[in-house]
Amino acid sequence: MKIFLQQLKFDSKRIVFRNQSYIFFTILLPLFFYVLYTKIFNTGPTTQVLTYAKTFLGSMAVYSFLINAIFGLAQLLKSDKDHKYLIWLYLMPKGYLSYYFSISLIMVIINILSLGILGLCAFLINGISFTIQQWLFLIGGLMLAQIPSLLLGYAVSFIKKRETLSIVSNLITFPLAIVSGLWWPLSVLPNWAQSIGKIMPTYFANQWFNQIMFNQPFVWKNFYGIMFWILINIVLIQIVRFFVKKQGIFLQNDE
Amino acid sequence: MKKVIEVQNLYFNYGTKKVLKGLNFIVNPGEIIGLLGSNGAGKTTLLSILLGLLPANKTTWVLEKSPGSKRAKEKIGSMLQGDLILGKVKVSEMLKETAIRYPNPQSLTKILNQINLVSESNKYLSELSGGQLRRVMLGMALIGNPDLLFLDEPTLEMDVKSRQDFWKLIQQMKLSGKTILLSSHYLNEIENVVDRIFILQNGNFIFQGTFPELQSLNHETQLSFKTKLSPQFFKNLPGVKNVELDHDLIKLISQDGDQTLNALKNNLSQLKQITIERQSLDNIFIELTKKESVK
Repeated sequence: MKIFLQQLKFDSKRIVFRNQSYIFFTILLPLFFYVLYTKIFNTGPTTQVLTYAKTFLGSMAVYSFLINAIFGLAQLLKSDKDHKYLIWLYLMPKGYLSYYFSISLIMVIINILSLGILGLCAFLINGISFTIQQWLFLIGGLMLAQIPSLLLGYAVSFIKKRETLSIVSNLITFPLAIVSGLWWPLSVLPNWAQSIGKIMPTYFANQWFNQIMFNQPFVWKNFYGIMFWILINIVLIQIVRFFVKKQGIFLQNDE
Repeated sequence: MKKVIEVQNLYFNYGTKKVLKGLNFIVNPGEIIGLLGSNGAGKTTLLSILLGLLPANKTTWVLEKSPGSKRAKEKIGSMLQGDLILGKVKVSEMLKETAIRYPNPQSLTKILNQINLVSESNKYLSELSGGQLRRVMLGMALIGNPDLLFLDEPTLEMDVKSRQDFWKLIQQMKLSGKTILLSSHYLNEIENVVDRIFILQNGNFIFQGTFPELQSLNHETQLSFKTKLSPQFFKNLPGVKNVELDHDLIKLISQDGDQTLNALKNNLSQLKQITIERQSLDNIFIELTKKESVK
């Protein structure tokens, strides 16, 4: 426990408190888009405006954890691997379990914080409020819904070249956000794109958030959809790890 | 006496490329071993195996444990090639982060003094020079109070002063009974520190022994001087292998310097600006590795 707490303190400082760009991209950017799309570009009858502001809150919360996983987590793990931090942790008697727990906890806290800040902003600028029960369901939903993205972020961190990782991260995040209806309603997309969008983990997460925010009955389809993607990503990680393990751990490529 | 490292018949391949071809060696407690070899000889692979990063065979033992086991790691400190430049991490934080992972760590102040980075302890790693970063890495290797140290190219990127301090520190480690296995390209640097050297070439040890033993592999001595005597005169002297005339300077390459000097004792008054040089360690190393490459 002592090692875990020390690791958490160490990682929090370097990843969050001393890293403004990370906070900007994972929390402030979705918040900026939320304000822009719901307060500045959002016009029409009041009910429609409020409905959209509520829907877009869920979308930006999902977008935030997607960005956090694919850019934040993947880049962090990649950078730590490149700087041999993981090798160094491996060489210590206590191993690197505390590192992975600490990073995971930071990711979860940031995602909850992002949701909270978006909710606060929605209340302040759009007058949207939720009951405590809705908040608890939203946090509970977030805890599960973020897992497929975090696993995907972990999987892509195994990409060897930094440039390739950057391209892959962009190729995953933005098409996924668009096709699963985080930016615009799915109905504006062609039918084939809608069919793809409706099986994406971010779509299930977004739908789940909407049900909670609009007090709709629980739909198991979203839960199963997320569980399916968790399973798929676990299998993907196992395959990647198998190949990486087969190659061994290299200190230097030429010897 | 218990052996700190024992390796028998160690082979390692990267795919079809044979990197280590049946290594055998032991390292005794308190010994400092210099691991030498040209680039690609297999030094880092060997260190990786001993650290448990790459799989070892069943006859490789480190501190009487399998490489990479938790019990072995508790007593091992390592300084690898490349720097651990984690963004926005301070020197003292990095060392504390390391210390907490060992059962009997040394104090932060002691280590900062040893690596001479007291005034930089609150600096971010990204603000340090290459040499200072290497010293942080050394501090990380030492803070766990290890019995065995693996140092891979430890003085790379260090300036002259840092190098001197580093070797002084290694001397202190030696006196305190630590066992050290270090790889280096600089023979002259490690000459006064290591007890034995292992030279690795194409996955095999082509030499295991002390520096005097290495030097004894090549007896060549170069005598150079100015003289009015004809170069022809020196060709027939005992031990002389070659005579070169460099402007007015005569250079004799002798396979037995003592014998050649003895033969010259009656003509010493006719020789001016005499210099006597033994074959340098670097040259011996180059010759040795060249011979093996040809084989």
